[in-house]
Amino acid sequence: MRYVGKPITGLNNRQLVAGKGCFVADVELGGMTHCAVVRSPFAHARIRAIDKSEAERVPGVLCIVTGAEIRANTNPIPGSWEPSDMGAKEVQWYALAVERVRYVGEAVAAVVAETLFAAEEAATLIYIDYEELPAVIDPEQALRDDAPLIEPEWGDNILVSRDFEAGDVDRAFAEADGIVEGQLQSNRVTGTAIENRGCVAHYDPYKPLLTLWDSTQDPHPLRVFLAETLRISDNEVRVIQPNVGGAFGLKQPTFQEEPLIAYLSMKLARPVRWIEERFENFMSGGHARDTRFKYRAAYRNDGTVTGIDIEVLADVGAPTALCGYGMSFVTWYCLPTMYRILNTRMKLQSVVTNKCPWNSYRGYGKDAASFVMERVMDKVSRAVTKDRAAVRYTNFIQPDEFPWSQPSGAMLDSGNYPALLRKLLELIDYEGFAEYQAEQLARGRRIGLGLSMELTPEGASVPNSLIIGGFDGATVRIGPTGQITVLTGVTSPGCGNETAIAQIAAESLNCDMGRVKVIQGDTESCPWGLGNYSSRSIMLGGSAVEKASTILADRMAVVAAEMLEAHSIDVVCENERFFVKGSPDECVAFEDVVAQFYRHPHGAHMEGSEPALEATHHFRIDNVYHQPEKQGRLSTYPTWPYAAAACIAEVDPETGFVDIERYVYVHDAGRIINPLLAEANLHGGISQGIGGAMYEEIRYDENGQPTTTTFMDYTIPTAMETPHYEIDHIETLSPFTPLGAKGVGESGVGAALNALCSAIESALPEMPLWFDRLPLTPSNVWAEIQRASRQARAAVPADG
Amino acid sequence: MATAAFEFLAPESVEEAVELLAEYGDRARLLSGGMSLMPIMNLGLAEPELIVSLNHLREPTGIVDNDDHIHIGAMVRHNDILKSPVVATGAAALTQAASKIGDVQVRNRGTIGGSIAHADPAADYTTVLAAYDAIIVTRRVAGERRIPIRDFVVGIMQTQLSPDELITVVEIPKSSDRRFSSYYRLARVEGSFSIVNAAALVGTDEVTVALGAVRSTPVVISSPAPGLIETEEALEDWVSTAAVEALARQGRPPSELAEYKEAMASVCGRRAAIAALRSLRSEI
Repeated sequence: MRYVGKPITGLNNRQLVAGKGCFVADVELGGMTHCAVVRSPFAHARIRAIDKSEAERVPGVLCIVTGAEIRANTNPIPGSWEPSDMGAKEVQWYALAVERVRYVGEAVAAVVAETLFAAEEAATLIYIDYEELPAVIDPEQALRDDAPLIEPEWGDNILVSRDFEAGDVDRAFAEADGIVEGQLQSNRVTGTAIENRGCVAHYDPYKPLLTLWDSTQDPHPLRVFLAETLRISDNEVRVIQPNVGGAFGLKQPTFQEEPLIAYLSMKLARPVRWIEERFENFMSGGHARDTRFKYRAAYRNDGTVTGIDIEVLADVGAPTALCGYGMSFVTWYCLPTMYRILNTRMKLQSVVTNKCPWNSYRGYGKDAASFVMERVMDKVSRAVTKDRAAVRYTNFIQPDEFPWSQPSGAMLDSGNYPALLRKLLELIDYEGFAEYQAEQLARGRRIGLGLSMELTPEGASVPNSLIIGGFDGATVRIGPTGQITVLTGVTSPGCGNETAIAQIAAESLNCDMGRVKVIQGDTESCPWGLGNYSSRSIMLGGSAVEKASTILADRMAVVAAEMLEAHSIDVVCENERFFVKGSPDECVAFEDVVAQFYRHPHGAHMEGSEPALEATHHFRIDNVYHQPEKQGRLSTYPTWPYAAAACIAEVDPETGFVDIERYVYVHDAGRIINPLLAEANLHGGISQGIGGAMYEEIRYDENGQPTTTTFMDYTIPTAMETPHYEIDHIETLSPFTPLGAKGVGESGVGAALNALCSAIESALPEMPLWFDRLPLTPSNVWAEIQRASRQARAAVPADG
Repeated sequence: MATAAFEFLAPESVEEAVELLAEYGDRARLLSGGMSLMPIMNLGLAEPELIVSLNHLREPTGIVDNDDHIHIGAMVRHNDILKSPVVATGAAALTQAASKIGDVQVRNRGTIGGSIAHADPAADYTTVLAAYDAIIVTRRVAGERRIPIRDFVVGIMQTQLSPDELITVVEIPKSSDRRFSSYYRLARVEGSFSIVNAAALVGTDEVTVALGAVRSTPVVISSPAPGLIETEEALEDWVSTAAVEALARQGRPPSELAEYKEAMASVCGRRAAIAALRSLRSEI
C-alpha cells in the first residue's frame, strides 16, 4: 500500500509548531465579553441566599446569573445515555447549582463583564450564604447506613450496582490447590491536558443561530444537548471545535459551563468567552480511576487460575450528567481481562461522594481492570513460585479461541496474546535479566524487572445513547479540479488522526495525498458523527472515509471505463491513472476523469453516471450486541486491542525513588495506519500510565477540600522523568473494519500500573514487598520498604 | 486569573527604591524575577497597590570575587550563578543548587535576592547559604544592615526584612580552611521544589551540614573535622546522629510526609557530606 502503514509526519505540524493554531482562547469576535464562574467553596452545602448587589456595581459588569435564573430558563443537562438503561440513578443537573452544592468547584454563579478583570473582581464580591452540610469523602463511608446522602431522594449513595456470576465459583474455590486474596486501590487521577477547558459563545438572534467554539471532543452530540438544555432547535446551534490542546476523554460533554456560556451569550446577544484556570480544572474538570478492589483467586499448583471473586468499589464523585461513572462499569465488565477464567463472581458498586465527578479519562476503567488482574497474576505467581510470564502463558485465552465470550457477555474479537508476550520478552531480554540484575547488584544498584499485560476494548457503543455509539460518518468530496475534501464526524483532540484519515482517503482513491484536505469539528459542514473517544477516530471514522472514498473510486472507474471503451470491472487505477488491467500505456488521468463529472454531465461518458463527485457514508461496526433478548448478550465494544509492557527500573531503597531504565511496550491494535502517529499516541499513553503509577494523585482533606489544585501538589512526570520508550507492534487484524484497524488511543496507560509495582518488588527480592495501592511515590515506596524490611527482619514467612 | 490593578514603578537607583518602600510600606511589593510574586498575584493571594520593579536598577548586580568573600548582587539571575566560574570554584554547592531551580525560563528570570526574600522553606539557595553562614546585606532609608542568613530567615516565608527594606547583596564568606561543598536534594520531578535538601561543607578543619525543607528554617549542624573526615563511615555516622539530635531540638511541623522527610533529611545530609568529602579527598 502506498500510504496506509507509512510513518507520515502530521499534516498540521507546521501550523502548530509555528504557534499558528487557533485554540478557543484565540477566537476573537467583535464585542467580546468575559465570564468568570463562581464555584462552591464547600463539599456539601445548602445555598441559603445570594447577594449580588455589590458585584453588580463593579464598572463593566454586564450581568450576574445564579441557579434560580438558570432553572427558570433552561432544562437540566442531558446525560450521555439513559441512566435507567444502565441500572443507574439519575440527577437533575443544571448549568448552575440550584439550592445545593455537592462538591468544591461546582458552578454556583457566573459574572459577565466587559473585561476579565472586572468579571473576576465582581466574582469575589458575590456574597453567598451557605449552610454547610455533612459531606461524604470516602467511598466506604458512603456505604454506611448513617452516611449523609449526596442525593436525599435516592435513599443511599449507590449510583449503580451490579452483580454477576458465571460458572461454579464456590466449587472452584473449594477444589483449589490454593487461594490468594487481598485488597487493591487505584488512585484518583485526572488528565491535565495542556489546554484547560474553555468556550466562546455567540448568539445571532436574527438568523437565529447560536455558535459555540468549544474545546470539546464531540461537537455533534453537544449541539443536540445544548439545544435541549437551552430550549431551542438543534438546527439553530452550531458547534465548532477549534484546535484542541489535549482532551484525553475529559472534554466529553456536557459540563455546566457549556450551556452556561451559551445561555449568557443568548441573554446578552453578545459573544461571551470563558477560559478555565488550572485550579478550576483540578476541582471541576473531571476525575477518574479512584477504585478499591477486594479480590480472591483460586489456583491450581501449576498456576492455572480456576476462579476469581472480585468486588469493585468505585468513588465516582458527585452525580452529574457527565459520562465518567461509566468507567466503573467498564472496569467490572472487562474482568477477567485476557485470561481464560471460567468461574467468576464480580460485584460492582459505584458510589457517589462529595468530590468532583468522574469524567472519561484515557483508559476509561480498562486501566483499573488490567491493574487488578495483573496484580492477581503476580500474586498467584508468588504463591506457586512460578515465573510471572509463565503464569500468564498458562492463563491466556488462546489465539484459536477467538471470538471469545467473556463471562460478562463481552465478545473479544481477535488476538494472539502468547505471541505478543513472547515478542515483549525477547525485546527486554527476559532470559538475560537475572544475570544483568546480579551484575548490577555487585555494583550496588538495585534493579528490577516489571511486567504487565493490558486489555483496552475500543469503539464503545452504548444502547440508547446519542453520544456513545458504534458508527461514524464521513463525506468525501472530489472537486472539479480534482482536489479532495474529506469531512468527518470524528474529531482530533490534537492526536493527529487527520493525517491518518488523509492517508486512508488517498489510498482508497489511488491518488496523491497532497490532494486531500481534512475538515473536522464543525457541525455546519461535517456529517453527523460522534467525535473522538474510545479510540474510534480511525476505527470508525477512518472506516467511513474508506467506504465513502471507495464509492467515489468505483464511480470514477465507471466513467474511466467509458473513456477507455472498456468494462469498468477491467479498469484499475494506479498513481492517478486509470487503465485496463495489463495495458497501462493506454490510460486516462485522474483529473480528466474528474472533469467528466463537472464539465460534461451530459457528455457521452457520463450516461448513467450522477454528476459531481461527493459521497457520504456512515460506517456501523459489527460485533456490537445491543439486543440481549435476541442475541443473548450485551456487548458494547467491537474491537479488543491489547498490549504488554516490561520495564527495568532502579530502586533507591534508602529514599524510595525509582528510576526507569528501560520501558518496552508491544502492542496489537490491528492494522496501524500511521506508525509514527500511533507511537506518538503511545508515548503519551505510557507517560500518563507512568504518571498514574508513580506521580499523580488527586487528594481531598477530611472536609472535602481538594488539596491538589496546582502542579506543585499534583505532580506529573515531565520529559525529564520519562524514559525512552521502545515500542513494537504485532498486527492481528480486526475482522470488523475494512482495513483491520482497531484503536490505539487509550493504550499504554493500563499496563504501566502493574509494571511499575512489579518492577520495584523485583528489585528487592530479599524482602516481601507488595504494593496494593497507587501511586508509587517515593514516600509510599519508602514506607512499604520499611514495612517489608521489618517483616523480613521479624522472619515472618512471606505470604506475598 | 487576572491580577488586580496596581501601580508600577521601575526606579533606577536603590535610593529611589527604598524611598518608595518607605512611602508605601506593605502596600508595595518588590518585583525582581517575578517567579514567585507573579504566581502569587495571579492566584489572588497578593494584591499590592504598587509594584516596584528592581529590574532597572543600576546596582546591585554582578558576582565579584573579593578577598574574604564572594559578593553576589541581589539581582543576579539563577542562570548567571549557574554559569559563574567564581561561584563554581568558591561555592560549588551554590552552583549545584542553582542548577536545580525550576526550568531554563525560571533560571533566566529568577534572582537570588528574590528567592531569599521569598524564603520558601523548600527553596534551594537558603540551605546552601545557611551552610556557608552567608551574610545578607539589606538597605532601607535608615541605612544598611548586615544579617547572617541563619538569623535572616525566621519562619516559613518569613524573614527579618521590614516592609521598607530590600536585599542588595549576598556575601559568601571565604575560609582559610580548605573546604569543599556539595548540595543534594530530593524532588518529585526536575524543577519542582525539594522534598528535602542538604548542603555540606567539608574542610580539613570543620564540617558543616545544613538541612533544608525539613523545618521552617534550615537546620545547621557543625563539628570539627578531625575524626570525621578520615572515613566515609565516620562522617556518615556523625551526620546521622547530629541530624537527629538537631532536628529533635525543633518541633516537627505537621505534614503527611513528616516521617519520610525526617528520614530523608538524614539521607540528604549524608549524601551531600560524602560528595563533599570525596571532592576534598581528590584535591588533597
